[in-house]
Amino acid sequence: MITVTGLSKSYNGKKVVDDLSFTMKEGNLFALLGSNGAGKSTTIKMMLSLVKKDGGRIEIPEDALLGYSPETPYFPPFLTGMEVLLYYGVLQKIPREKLKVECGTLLHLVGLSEEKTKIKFYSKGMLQRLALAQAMLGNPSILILDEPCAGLDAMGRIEMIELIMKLKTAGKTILMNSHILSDIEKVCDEGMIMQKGKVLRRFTKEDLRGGESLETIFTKTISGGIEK
Amino acid sequence: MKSSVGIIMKTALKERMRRKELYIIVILAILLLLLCSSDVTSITMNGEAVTGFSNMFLLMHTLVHFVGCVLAVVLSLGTIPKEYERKNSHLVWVRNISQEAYHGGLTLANVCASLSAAAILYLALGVYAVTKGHGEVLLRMIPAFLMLSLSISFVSLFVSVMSIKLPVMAAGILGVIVMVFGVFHGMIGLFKNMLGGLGGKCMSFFLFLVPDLSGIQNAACHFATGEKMEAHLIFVLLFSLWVVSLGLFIFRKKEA
Repeated sequence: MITVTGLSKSYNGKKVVDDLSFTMKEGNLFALLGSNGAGKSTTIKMMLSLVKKDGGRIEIPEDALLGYSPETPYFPPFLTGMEVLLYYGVLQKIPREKLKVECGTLLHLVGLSEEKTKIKFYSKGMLQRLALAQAMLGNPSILILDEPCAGLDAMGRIEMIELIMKLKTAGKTILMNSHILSDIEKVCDEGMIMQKGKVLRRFTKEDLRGGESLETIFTKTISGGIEK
Repeated sequence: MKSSVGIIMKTALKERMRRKELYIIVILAILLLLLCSSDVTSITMNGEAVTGFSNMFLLMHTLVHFVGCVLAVVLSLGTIPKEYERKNSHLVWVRNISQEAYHGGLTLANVCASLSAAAILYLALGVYAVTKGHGEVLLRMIPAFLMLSLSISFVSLFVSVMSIKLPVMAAGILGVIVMVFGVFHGMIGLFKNMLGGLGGKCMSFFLFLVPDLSGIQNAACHFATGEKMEAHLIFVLLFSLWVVSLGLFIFRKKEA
């Protein structure tokens, strides 16, 4: 379980995350929703210690390994997918003999095992899948996915969502940030809608079963602007 | 930490070696060396034609050193900020790689790329020596190149370390100032003596701070041609390298 309590962050006196609290249950997919500038990415970066928090607490189990897939992944263009995974695997100190097997398995899982071309020839969808593969190096129990479907075409999105479903079924705890509400609706167990660094509304899978689509909930919440 | 620095360096070096600036400058420098190797002249100096071997070797040695230092600035500038700009740093930081290891690996790649380019130029200098019938300098050119490497490494290290903390433009300007003051240390020293007042004092201050890279270049050239050289400058430069490398541990990025 991951617990975030009273998390806050300001840039030049402007609060981008304001007293944010939430809990992620083990094996669940938690969705962070909100318009641009809502503070979703900053929250993720604070959870990953990429950005220093001004206040609050983030409690992650000590033995838990975190995997992170960035919104706009950059990989050295002259490497192949396998070489990219080997690079990050070595940085992660995964033993060499185990690493090669693991990289092969991960490439197979994300559908890139046949791809021998260099990254510079990869499409956006292939890059996103590779980003997901590098996030899974070392078999982390928690995955943080920042806009995993950004820039993907319809087929790419379907494949990515299927992949995320597979990971969820495998028992991974996933935090996912996305603008594509229909995708989130398919996979999430719970989540929250943010605006200007604050939580406007929390929701669970049960709320979505009540007949209202996530899009309706989102639109109502953003125009209403009150936490429920 | 060792394997992390190694793999970061190896990957970054592959990227640096793909930069077209490196090849453009090296080709231009080799063309310049070829131009210099022409010996059609009747002007003599100390009984030797101006374009005689020892004069031309010194001139070409100076040219290789200067181009090597320029390349060090070009290849090192902005490489670390670029890693942060394209957010490659995120995937490194989340793997608990220390900033020292990360920046150290990237800096080593900058130094190695600069030295590789300088080595190509130095090889051209070696070819010139052989074609002029002075093959005996070849063996002595190896330690001479190592001396020259210290100077080029200093420029590359300085620019890399400064770019961790300063904006790219500021790091570049500072790098060029240090390079110019270092490479033309002797010449600027003479100019400073002619100049008085505040300008002279400023120059004295910079000359005090910046190691004498031209002295190292002269020492390397003298060693290659079998003349007497000043060895103490090497120790001064080694100390300067150590001081600048401390910046890798002192300068830190607040956010990835």
